[in-house]
Amino acid sequence: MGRYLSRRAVTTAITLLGIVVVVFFVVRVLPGDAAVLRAGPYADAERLAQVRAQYGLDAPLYQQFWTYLTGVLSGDLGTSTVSNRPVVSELLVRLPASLELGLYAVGLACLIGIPMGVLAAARQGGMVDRLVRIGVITGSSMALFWLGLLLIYVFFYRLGWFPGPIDRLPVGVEPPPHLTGLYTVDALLTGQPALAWQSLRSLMLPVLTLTVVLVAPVLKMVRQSMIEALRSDYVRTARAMGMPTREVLLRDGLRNALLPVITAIGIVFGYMLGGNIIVETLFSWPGMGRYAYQSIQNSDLEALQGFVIFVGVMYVLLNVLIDVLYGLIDPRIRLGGKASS
Amino acid sequence: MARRSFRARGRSLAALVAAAGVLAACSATDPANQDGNGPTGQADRDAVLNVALGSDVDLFDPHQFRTDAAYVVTANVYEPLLRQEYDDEGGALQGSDRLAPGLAESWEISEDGLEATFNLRQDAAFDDGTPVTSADVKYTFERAMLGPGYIQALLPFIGISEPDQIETPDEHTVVLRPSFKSPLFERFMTFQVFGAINSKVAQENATADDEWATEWLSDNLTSSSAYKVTEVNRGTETMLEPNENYFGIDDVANAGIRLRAVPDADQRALLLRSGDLDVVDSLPPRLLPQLEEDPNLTVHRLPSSRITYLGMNNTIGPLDDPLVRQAISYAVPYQAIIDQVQFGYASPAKGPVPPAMQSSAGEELWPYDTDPEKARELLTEAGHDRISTQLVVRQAQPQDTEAAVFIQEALREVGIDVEIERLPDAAYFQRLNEHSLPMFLHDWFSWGEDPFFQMTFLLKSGQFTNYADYASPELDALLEEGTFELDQARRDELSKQAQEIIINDAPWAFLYSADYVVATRKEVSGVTRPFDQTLRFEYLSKAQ
Repeated sequence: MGRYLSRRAVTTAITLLGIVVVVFFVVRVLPGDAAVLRAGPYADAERLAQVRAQYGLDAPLYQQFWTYLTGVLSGDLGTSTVSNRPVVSELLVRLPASLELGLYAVGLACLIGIPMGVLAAARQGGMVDRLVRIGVITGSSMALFWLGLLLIYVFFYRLGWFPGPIDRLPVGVEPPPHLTGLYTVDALLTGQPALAWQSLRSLMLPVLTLTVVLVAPVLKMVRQSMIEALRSDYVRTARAMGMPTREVLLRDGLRNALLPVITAIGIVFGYMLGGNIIVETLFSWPGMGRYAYQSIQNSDLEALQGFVIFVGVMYVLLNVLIDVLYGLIDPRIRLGGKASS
Repeated sequence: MARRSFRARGRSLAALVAAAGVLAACSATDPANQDGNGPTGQADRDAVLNVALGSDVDLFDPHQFRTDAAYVVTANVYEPLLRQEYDDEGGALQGSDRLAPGLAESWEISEDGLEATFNLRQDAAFDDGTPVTSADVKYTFERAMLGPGYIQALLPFIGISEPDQIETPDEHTVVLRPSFKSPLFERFMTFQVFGAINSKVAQENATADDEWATEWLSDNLTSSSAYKVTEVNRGTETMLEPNENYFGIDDVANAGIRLRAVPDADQRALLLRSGDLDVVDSLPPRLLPQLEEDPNLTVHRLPSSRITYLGMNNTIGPLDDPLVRQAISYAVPYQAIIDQVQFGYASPAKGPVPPAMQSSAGEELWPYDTDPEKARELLTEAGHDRISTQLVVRQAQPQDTEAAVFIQEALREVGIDVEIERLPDAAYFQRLNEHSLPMFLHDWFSWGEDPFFQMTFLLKSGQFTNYADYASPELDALLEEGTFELDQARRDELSKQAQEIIINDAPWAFLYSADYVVATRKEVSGVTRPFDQTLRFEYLSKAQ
């Protein structure tokens, strides 16, 4: 395992370097001049040149890249042209909001997806299986913004069951002291269960919106790999030997079926990290996705680069985690060093 | 494990989820059923109002260009020398020409206009308790002149370009010595960009590379006006509370403002209807009719001199030919755009000086009532059968795209093929700045609402904000004369002549002047529209 991890460390570092290079140059190709927006309409050519110099936008490209690369290696992702603050602090301030949203959404998707998928596979053609298949199609073809708007209109405006799309807590409610940044966790840790509940209620609509879409790939993956596992020789042998079906299902079937499911969850998590833009904008959620969208609008290059690199790093780390999990679950990988299907 | 227990587990899980949903429902109140009873009329001075504007706060430096929300915050934190008085117009407060004391309790301008003496209030103080002195006022003007920021372009308009034109004979007296007498001088003194910054605190936070404390002032504010900022949560909320050291603290009509970031306009409207928000602006006109019908809301609407125009690049053929531009001016469906894109919340501009701005002469000079026949005639006269061009609009303004589609349809009828291109803001403003857009939709608001300021910045030859690159030596001469003309009647006459030249040359098609619209809960009053069209929170009150 140790040798495997050190090898992974090297490949991870190379991947990350590649991300920085690609992101930097692709972002520079995008049209739009950040200096123009920062300087405003009353800025003449001289003033624009001043602003460009202030943000280092007038240096030759290779020099800008070198400054940026050395900055990244020391943890400095540059300065935002919109707010004049370091990109790292802007992202870190917004990370907990996106993380809380994503964790609950993925968690709920798994909580629903895995048992339902198992049930559907166990009784193919049955009621649950049919429901699951409808669920998969609906979820994969659902438009996030449409669903979000519908949920807001029905459950907030008409029925009043949930607070409005105005951020992580209702207006006027103080957030809990900052420990992890996840309001539900922090509120519980500081002994404020009522606040945790309020925070959870504000989370429910955006989480539901995301879950409906995220549950589809999970359901599909679980069901499929469960079916394959159930068809396998070892399962049939176990059943033939008289082992109770449930035990076979959970011990042999699920454990083997889990591998592709973990991959699916990893992909889903990665998508959620970066693609929350719609949900965050709709629900006024102060997360990273919304920040990325604003950066594109304002041509805030450093912020955009910072965001992509941040997500890239998370994604790479997530993949390493998944590989390690694979190794833990599947002895063949641990012992053989060969990646599974 | 037996079969039954597995199924039972699934069922109990489902029951748990359902129970959670029901619990959530029980602990909620129903916001959609507010009763339509009016307020009792008693203003609640302990009320904190929840306000959501159309943009997020980016930075607070009063001398740098920033988002509208950031301008609103600084307008309520930095007090200038003079203030405006307001007239009640149907429940909203329209800014008037009458000026009142701000930081200066009295002021005197010499006959020749070259010496302006301001006597500062003795009781003016910053939020940290230190008194506001003439040194702070001088620092503010110096920073505006020499520091980072665009104000350097504005001060020459009133004849101030050197720091030594500002004198501080004692702690409570400021003397400005403009190099010429400008009719706009007093009006400029009400602009929030000249609101007093605490010079001691700013200088403490300056560094060797950053002598004007740009970095510190982007994140921090030193309040000399009604409010101080007590909390900033980026992307979420900015909290403003009344500044106890403000000289007018007794007149502040509320206990604070929670400025929320709600980026989606539909959600802003929804949250206003549910009562989660009290004041909302930047609503697209299509949402306004239903808000007007809601008995719990008031849609405050005041005429504004903001102008939206179809710019045509006067140096790129075939738009360089005035006949072609006049043809386009006759073809544009002005009323359709006002009725169907702006839903009636705008009036025709009919020229560079819209009706809400003084000396507006469009009503009598405007010939371009929509007339496709005339348009076709002029196009033929210009020697063209069919021409094609490109219209660039901002993606971030859906109304612009809608208006562009109306224009495209109408122009196609008369032989002009228009391709619409939508750009994100950064790309749009970059090309706008380069003066390289063939046709574009743009809107402009002049602080101070002066016709010569407006026409100079937008249409004087060589101006960097003259995005259409229109050049007319006759116009330039009139504008120069009018900028310095002190006799109001003569000034109006010059303005009219200038408008006539512009309207005839048709460098733009003058589309409309959008109303200033702020929607509030019925119990809220005190919506203001000053010279800079940014809300002054101290007048906002909420009845019980």
